[in-house]
Amino acid sequence: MRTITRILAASVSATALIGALAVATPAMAEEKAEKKEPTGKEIAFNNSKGNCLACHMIVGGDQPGTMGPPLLAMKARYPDRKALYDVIYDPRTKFPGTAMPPIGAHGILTKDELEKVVDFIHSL
Amino acid sequence: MKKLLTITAAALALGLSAPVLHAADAAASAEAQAKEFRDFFFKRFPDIKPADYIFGVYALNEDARAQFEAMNEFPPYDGAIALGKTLYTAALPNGKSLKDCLGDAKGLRAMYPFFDTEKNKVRVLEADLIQCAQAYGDTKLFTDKSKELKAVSAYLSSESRGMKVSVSVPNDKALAAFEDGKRHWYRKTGQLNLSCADCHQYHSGQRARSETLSPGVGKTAHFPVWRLKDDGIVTLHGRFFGCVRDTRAKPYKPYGDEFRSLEYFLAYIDNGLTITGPAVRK
Repeated sequence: MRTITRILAASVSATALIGALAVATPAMAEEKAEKKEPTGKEIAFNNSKGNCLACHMIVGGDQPGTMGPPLLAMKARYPDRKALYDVIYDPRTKFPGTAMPPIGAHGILTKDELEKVVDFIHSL
Repeated sequence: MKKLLTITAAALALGLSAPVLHAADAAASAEAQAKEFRDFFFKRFPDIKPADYIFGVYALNEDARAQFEAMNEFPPYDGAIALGKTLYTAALPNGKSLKDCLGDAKGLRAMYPFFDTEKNKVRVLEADLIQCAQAYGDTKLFTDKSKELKAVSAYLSSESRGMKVSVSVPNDKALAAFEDGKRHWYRKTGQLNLSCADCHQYHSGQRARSETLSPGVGKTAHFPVWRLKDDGIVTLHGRFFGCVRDTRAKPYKPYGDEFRSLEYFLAYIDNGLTITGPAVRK
């Protein structure tokens, strides 16, 4: 629901922008929206980025996969953020043979994206 | 540590016995490895009857099965089978047809894949179709991904429906190809570092997003498939290619040695299952 509200808000503001500038095209408005820095949550949910949802249940995410454990109570499971970072960076160290991709070690996310995702996951 | 030692000891034992393998040993070794592979799934899915693995992901529960039966009420692949039937006997540039090269369509699929002990190579049906077509002067109709190849592949599966998968490992070299296929099954590829086994063995029955991951047994019995997502026929090697690509790796060439071995390994696993291709899949 919150997502829908946000999309609605974004489209309302985009419409307002078009109205105000009169010459702005919808394509330009979209381009502007794309340039907004994605949040850790957005990166985690994006199919071609973190794609954490492909395997893990995360509150707020639609149609999560079940290959990995649900991401809940993460601060209890990983009191030390660095330990969580290490698992996401390269899960093979802690879980040899795991199916989870080495998100950092294989450059699936940039350092900056990874930090944001770790912050988001640690907040769950 | 003790586990590691056991594994090392087992590997040493295998290594020592390998050079003196006889034909009977090769067959017995393949059978033992296949049994171990199948047993993994039989234990994981105690409610699935072994014969039902030909239904792939639709064997996993009743809802899925009902969905599958609904999809088959108006088979979307009938047009492909009809086209394949025409193409199989149609004259190629030299005046001869694929049928002249490979013989009767009936039961042909059930003879493949096999290990060619003269050429020391795994023979797969689609590769032989391409080779025959080329030998008869065709340069563009039958290629790795052509609609024509897929149609004939579908037709030939339909002509072996009801027969059993029957693959043998006749000698050491065949066993080497079988084991090469097994290695590819477990080999992690690409940026995502995934193996076939990661999804279709260790996590089979679980979901990636909303899609249930199918078990690794039964695949060769129902290919090629009419894939709803692609709105067309997908051959087994086409699917191998797609899976490896999805791990963000550069896939092996369809009908190259790697995928031939993988098909050979998986088909051996499916021995005794009923051929049911072409099948509908999401």
